[in-house]
Amino acid sequence: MSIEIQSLTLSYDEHVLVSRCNLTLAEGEILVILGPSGCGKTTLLRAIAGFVKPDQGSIYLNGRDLNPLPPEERNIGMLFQRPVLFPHKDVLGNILFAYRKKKHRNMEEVNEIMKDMGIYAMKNQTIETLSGGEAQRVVLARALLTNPELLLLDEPLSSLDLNVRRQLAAEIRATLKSKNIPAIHVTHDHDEAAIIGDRIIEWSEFHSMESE
Amino acid sequence: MSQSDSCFGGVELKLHVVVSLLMLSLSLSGCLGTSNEELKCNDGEDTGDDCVLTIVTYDIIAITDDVLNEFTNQTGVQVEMIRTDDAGGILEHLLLTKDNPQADLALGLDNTYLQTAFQFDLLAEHNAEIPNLDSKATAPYSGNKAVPFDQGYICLNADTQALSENNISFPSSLEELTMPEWKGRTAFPSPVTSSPGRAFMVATIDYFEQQSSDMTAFDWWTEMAENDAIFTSGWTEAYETHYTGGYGIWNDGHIGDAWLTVSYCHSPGVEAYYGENSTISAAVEIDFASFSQVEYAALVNGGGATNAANAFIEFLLSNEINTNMPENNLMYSVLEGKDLPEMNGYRYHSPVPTQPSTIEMDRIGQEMENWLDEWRDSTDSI
Amino acid sequence: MTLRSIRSVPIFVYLGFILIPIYLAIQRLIDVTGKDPFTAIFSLPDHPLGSEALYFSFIQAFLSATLTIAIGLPIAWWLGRHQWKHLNIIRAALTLPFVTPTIVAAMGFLALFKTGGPIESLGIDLRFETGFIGWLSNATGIENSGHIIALLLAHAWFNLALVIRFVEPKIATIPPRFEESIRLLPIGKTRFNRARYFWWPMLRTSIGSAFLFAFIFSFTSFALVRWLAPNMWTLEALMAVEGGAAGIHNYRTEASLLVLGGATLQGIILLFALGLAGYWQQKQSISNDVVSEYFARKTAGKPSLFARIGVSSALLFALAPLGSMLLSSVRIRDRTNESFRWSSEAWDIALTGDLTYVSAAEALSNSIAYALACMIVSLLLGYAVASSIHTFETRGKKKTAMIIDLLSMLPLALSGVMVGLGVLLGVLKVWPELFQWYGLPIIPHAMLTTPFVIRIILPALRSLDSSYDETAAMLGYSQYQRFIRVRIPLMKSSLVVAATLSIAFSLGEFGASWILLRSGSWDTLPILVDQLMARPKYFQLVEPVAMATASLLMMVTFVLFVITERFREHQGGGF
Repeated sequence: MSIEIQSLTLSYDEHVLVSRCNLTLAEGEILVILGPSGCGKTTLLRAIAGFVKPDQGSIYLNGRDLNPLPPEERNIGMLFQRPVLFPHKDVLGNILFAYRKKKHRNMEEVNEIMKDMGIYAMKNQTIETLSGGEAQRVVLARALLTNPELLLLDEPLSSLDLNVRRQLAAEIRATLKSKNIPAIHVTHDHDEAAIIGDRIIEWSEFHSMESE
Repeated sequence: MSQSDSCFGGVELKLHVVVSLLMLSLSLSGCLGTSNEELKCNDGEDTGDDCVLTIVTYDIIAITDDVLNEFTNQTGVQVEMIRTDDAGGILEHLLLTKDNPQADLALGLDNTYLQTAFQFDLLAEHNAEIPNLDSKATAPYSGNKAVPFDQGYICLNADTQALSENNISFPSSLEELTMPEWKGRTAFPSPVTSSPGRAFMVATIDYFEQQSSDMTAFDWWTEMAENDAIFTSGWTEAYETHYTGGYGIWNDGHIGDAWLTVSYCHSPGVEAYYGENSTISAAVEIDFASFSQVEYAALVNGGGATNAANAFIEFLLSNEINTNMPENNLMYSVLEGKDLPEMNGYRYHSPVPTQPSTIEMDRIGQEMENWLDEWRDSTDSI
Repeated sequence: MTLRSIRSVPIFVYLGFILIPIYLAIQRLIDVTGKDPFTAIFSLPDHPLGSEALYFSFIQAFLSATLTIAIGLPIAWWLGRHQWKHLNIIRAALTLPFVTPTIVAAMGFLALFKTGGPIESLGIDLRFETGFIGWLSNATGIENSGHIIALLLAHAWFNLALVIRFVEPKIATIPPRFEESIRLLPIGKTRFNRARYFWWPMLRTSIGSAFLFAFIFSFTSFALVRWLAPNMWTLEALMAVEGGAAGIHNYRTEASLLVLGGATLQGIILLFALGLAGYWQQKQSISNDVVSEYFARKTAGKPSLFARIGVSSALLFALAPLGSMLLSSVRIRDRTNESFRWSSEAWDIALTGDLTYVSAAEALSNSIAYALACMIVSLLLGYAVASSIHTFETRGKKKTAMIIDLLSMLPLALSGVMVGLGVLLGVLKVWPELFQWYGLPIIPHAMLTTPFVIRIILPALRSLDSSYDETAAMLGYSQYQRFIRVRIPLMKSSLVVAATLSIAFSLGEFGASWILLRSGSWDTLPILVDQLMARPKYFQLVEPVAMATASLLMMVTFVLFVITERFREHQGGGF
């Protein structure tokens, strides 16, 4: 089991989003949570990432209790809705951000992943010149280089157009599967959910879930 | 000479030697040879209290830094200056820091401020050896708490060229300045904020008291205000910006609307000195309308570095330095038998008033606050 | 918890340095006058020049600020939009006025406005007020209109840098796609509409801040007023002239009353202005997309002829007074007082220090030493305070944030006289030896530059998208690592601007005349200029030596600006 969420209670501004829910993810499983925007899916992801403190409950990642850990120590990757690329670096510079220390840099690994994601040709471009899809690819490449134990995807494809969305969803799935990285993907698009997920849960289900 | 813990143990003795040497060599920048080697301050070994002298003085004092550097060269004492806005600022600084004086020596209080300084117990007795001083310098005060170091007469200065071009006779009384031809043509630094202004105001009080008419000085000031006299906060603005008879006409900021202002009777002499013996400015000699000003050096009560302070006083009164007061500080020396240099008409253009104001320092001390209030009320100005 | 309390320490230190002197000064003044600060305000009209000073302070400050924006906005626009060669030099030149010591600025302007000078030869006599200006005075009934115009121009000149620094970066980094999107909408068809519906909302807080700060600096102006408009008084000028006697028992208590009332009133007015600026900035701050300047400028392209003329005129305006000052340093009145000669004598004397206790060369190294120390202190302190304010904001404690923000601006609202008195009293009471410490001037310099650092860094912090920080966290970077590798680089532009301004202020001793200045071996260049300009100038070389010293100061400042500007942006994806 990669992720285990026990008895999690989350609220935001007095509003209870999740109440004593349990959730488990198998190794390498991609879970999709489907639901309209603004219902609390993002907050759930942020709680797992460590940016929001749950009212109650615990989260275990590969046996580790995440509760006392700050985000930087959780070894979780995340993609946001808007691709977050550092404006003061070009594409390659952004990807190299995955390495905290210069000496850890592995250019072979980097080149390989850039070719896999189809962004090798852009490596010296500035980030403003990238399209939305290209940008998210860069973000994904960067996240993958850190070998995360879990990848959180917070509607990263929702601002892209339909064809790109479908294609990128398939690519993401393929990449995650090849590296055996479990993921929780949040979206409101049913088709996207179907392409990317092993298991789909409706948020309404999740929200009122007491136990699995 | 003992190698005492006070770095001044040796210096006092050495200073006499040094001054004699100077008198012989007549050179400000002469090498002082072996006599300095034993001064602890010069070696930089001892940086105790006495090796830094803090002097509180006013900003337009013209004592050149050459002079200060010379003092440092001779004694090894570093000089730090606290510069205030005007001689009055010295008094104010001393008052504000009374409980914890920052300065060791006050330089520039004059005989319109001295009494007040005594009243507030701001000054301490000095221990310097004083040579024989000119009687005019010791007339206002000759005690131990303050030593004169320069003097001069405050009087009106007028632009002779402007007056002749406008067919106006050179003033011989204060009353005629209230006439229409002088409308807006006079500039006076305020007695509240300027010490020459203050001295002149005292002179006007005396002038009118000496007249037989009912008019008081403050009536006159009111009339002057109504005659559009220009009142400035300091001497510099009146002399440089408004007065047409001085070097100010060459300044970019010159407005030049006043043909008459308050300065020293020897200011025309200074103009000539720097101007190859030519000046259009002349001192206005009117009985009682001038003031004999003496400037003092005094130890600050509660200040430190007393040895350095005393040494500075002696330095300032040394023949070499004080004889050169007219060049170094644009004022008369206080030593006996000295005069302004003749070069370039310095002496020629500097009349000595025959009858300056006679008001005593005591009276000034008592009544100054009232006078200032009355002056403000009369002129409705700064 | 501990991190939060540590975060509060800089705030307490900073505010302590400001508030304690004020408290001490007010206490003493109340003690001496027997009146409370608010009653003292009502005694202001009792002073013969009190009401006039208050009225004039207000009017000229408002007009000056308006003129500043009127001149500065087009310049900021042209500068911000296009690709310019040597942009760093242009920016450096336009910022130079702001850090010029006021007496130097006054001299420069007088040289421009004098009879026989360049402006007067155009028929505009601002000094003697003949001709057109005389007509204007008669027509409007305003006496000394020439002097007032000169003053307003000088203020606008001085504060031009505010508009450039506040507004231009904004213009330069707004993503072109925003403007492109609005051009395609019906509402964005005309230039006027775009200005009204797009640019104005985008820029109004920056413009507003620039206006308010120009107002504040003009309001508290006194050296320029004394020199350019000798018959007029601002509140600060009045207090500066009489304030030496404030705080003394039984001696000239009217001076204490003037300072108590005047400083309190001025403080209230200025705090209000500062509060407004802070409020606007907070309210309007949106987490903006920001793009690199390089990219935005490339999109807009090279400047038009119109833009070139405009910016060149601005450069001329900015540099003319300084140029005339340089000229004055080599033009010496000869001994017959009848003509001038050209000579480098004044420079020789300045550099060897014949007229001053320390030479200009020594003073320069002192100035630079203080400036660097000041920069370090104010950057650290300013960042810490700005960061704390921002943290309070993000945690929902907006009111607390605003109060701290306002208080941190306090040094700019205070009368120099009041603070000088407070500092004197405070140091005397607590630690008199501090006056002997050569590092003392760093404190007032830092106190006056830190508000600017805060004003520059706070918006930058606000506009930092939190997702940058979060992404870095998810990539495993610790808080410290994120600070160094993400936050600082993203804020590089503002940090450089803040550092530059801090150094330059310190070099010019902006407003720091309120600390008890000691002169001696630690004299700086502005102190030298001040000393020289204060003495009687019978000797023909006094003024040229002052001008040479001042020119040296300005040249060094300019070079420093140009160097630091290079760190501000790099091509290809940088800010």
